[in-house]
Amino acid sequence: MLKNENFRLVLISLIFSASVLVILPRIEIYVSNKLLKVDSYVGGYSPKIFGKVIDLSDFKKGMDVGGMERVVFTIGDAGTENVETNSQLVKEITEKRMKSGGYKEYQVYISKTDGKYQLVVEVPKYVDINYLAVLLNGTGNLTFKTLKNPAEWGPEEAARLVASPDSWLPTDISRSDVSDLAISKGSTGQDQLQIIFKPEGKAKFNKVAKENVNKPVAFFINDQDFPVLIPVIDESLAADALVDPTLTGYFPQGFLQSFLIQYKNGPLPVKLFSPEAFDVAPKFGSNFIEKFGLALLVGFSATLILSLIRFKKEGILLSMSVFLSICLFLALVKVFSVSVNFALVAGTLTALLLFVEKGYEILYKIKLEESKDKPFGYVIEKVFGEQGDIFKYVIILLFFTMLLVLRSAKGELVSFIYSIVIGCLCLPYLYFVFKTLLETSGGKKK
Amino acid sequence: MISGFINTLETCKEFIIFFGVVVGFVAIFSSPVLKSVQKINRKRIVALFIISLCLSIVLSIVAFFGYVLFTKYSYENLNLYLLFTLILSINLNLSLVVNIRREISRAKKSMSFSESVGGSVRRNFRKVFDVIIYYLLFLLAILFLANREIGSFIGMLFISVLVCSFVSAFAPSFICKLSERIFK
Repeated sequence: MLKNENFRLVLISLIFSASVLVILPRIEIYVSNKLLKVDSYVGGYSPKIFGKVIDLSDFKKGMDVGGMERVVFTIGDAGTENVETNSQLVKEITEKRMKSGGYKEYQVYISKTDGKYQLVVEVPKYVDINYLAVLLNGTGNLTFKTLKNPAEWGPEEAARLVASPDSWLPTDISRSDVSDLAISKGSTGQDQLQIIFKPEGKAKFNKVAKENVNKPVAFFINDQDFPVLIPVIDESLAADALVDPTLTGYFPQGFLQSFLIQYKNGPLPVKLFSPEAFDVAPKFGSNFIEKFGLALLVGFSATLILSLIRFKKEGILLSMSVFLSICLFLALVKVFSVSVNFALVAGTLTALLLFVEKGYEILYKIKLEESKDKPFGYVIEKVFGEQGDIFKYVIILLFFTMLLVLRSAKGELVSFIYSIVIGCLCLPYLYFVFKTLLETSGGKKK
Repeated sequence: MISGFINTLETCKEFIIFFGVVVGFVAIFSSPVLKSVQKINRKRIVALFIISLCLSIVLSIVAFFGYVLFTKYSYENLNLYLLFTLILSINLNLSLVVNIRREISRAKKSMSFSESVGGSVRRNFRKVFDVIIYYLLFLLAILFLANREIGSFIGMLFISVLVCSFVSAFAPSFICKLSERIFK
């Protein structure tokens, strides 16, 4: 079917239309007169693909383009000798937590204001600040406590005891006794936390369990005053000295996952206090995306003239092919939620250069072959056949190396790498469009 | 200033990984890709490719250092600048290498390696010149219509476009002689 010219043209039109619909923001269309009544919109859709809703209402704006949230924590222990070392440690742990939490674009630094050390975290506005504050605030510690007065225990007392920090006494089990934590799903699908103890930790836990059969052992995290759970120890758990306990309860969505990140990248040497969030305006102005879009269009118009002067009709076809490829590129950027920042702008220009360089290479080859008085149709087949190799090598080399580099990349660089990967995906499309347009314009007939 | 530059260079982890992986890939896949070429010429082509990449990067670094020296621009985007340079250089040099492969395969036996390269390089020159103008037009559009700050960053990338283009347009003949000396 791909050999049929009409089919290829329809396919290109469909891909172009889909790309434009993806790129466009939601534009309301409202017409109400005697002849016509329309109340609809175009663009900014939220299609559901494989059960997942893809939000295409707007590009994902990075810190430079969409502004940012600056979250400031006061670091505890101000005034002590270790505060500088602790602050540095807090910064390192915060960076690890951000990385484990899947955040790609952020900045973490320590500032000193009025003699107080502060941890400053800057993230784009699309980030959930409340979740972030919880993730960074927790110390990552875990403790087990038993009742001060075991005789007062009864199921009806549970709610009162949970709200009463003074009713609990710490045991000697600490995070140093735990070798790992794991999250699994319970029989009813709820999250549960499995605590894997070291041998000495297992012995300590077994001792506590034996002393508290049919009594609660409270589980505290992040040095908080109130327990997360107060599971009651049953006889079978106390009797099995080798078992790793599993905590089952109705945890809020993402609660255990965030504690796991805190635990695995912690513990914080000091507590963090009173997170405050501040809005910071975008560095590149409020309507950068619109301005950049306009600049791209003007750039295309200027280069269209250049191509027209250099290669006449074939030059225009190249400009059209590059334009269609860039539309697909931007649509994929939106679909894959790549953050728009200055690195993405650089990536877009790099992709554009790849497209243009390949296009010009083809046009110069066509010119050369045409000068030998060969028929245009034959020239196109020959040149595209030869150029196919170059396209293939560039795509393979850049696509796979960029995916490897992506593993270690962080910050704005991630957008640049994604843009090159997407550019590699669009290169075959450029090849396909340019060949089809050249053939349709008379290549085969000649 | 120089120590700041060297410290920044040391943090360009992604660039170093990228460069290492590219050189590794080229070394591994040169045999199947260049199987129609004599072994000695195959080695010369690989050498030409890698020397050309290195030359582009070294000259781009020197140009970047000069740019910072005159404009007081910060070093913070060096990693991105180097990645951009490497991608551009790979793209230009891969096209060149595949063209050289074709020239060598087609060439008469009496034609030397340098002569085969000469034809490809001449055609490359005009294309590279057009690419420079194309980039310049987009740079001007972004500079005047989008944002000056990002325009200055893209302007910095223009240095890299110039360096890579000139290396791929003028240096292959010199690098070719060098690779002929290395692999006699």
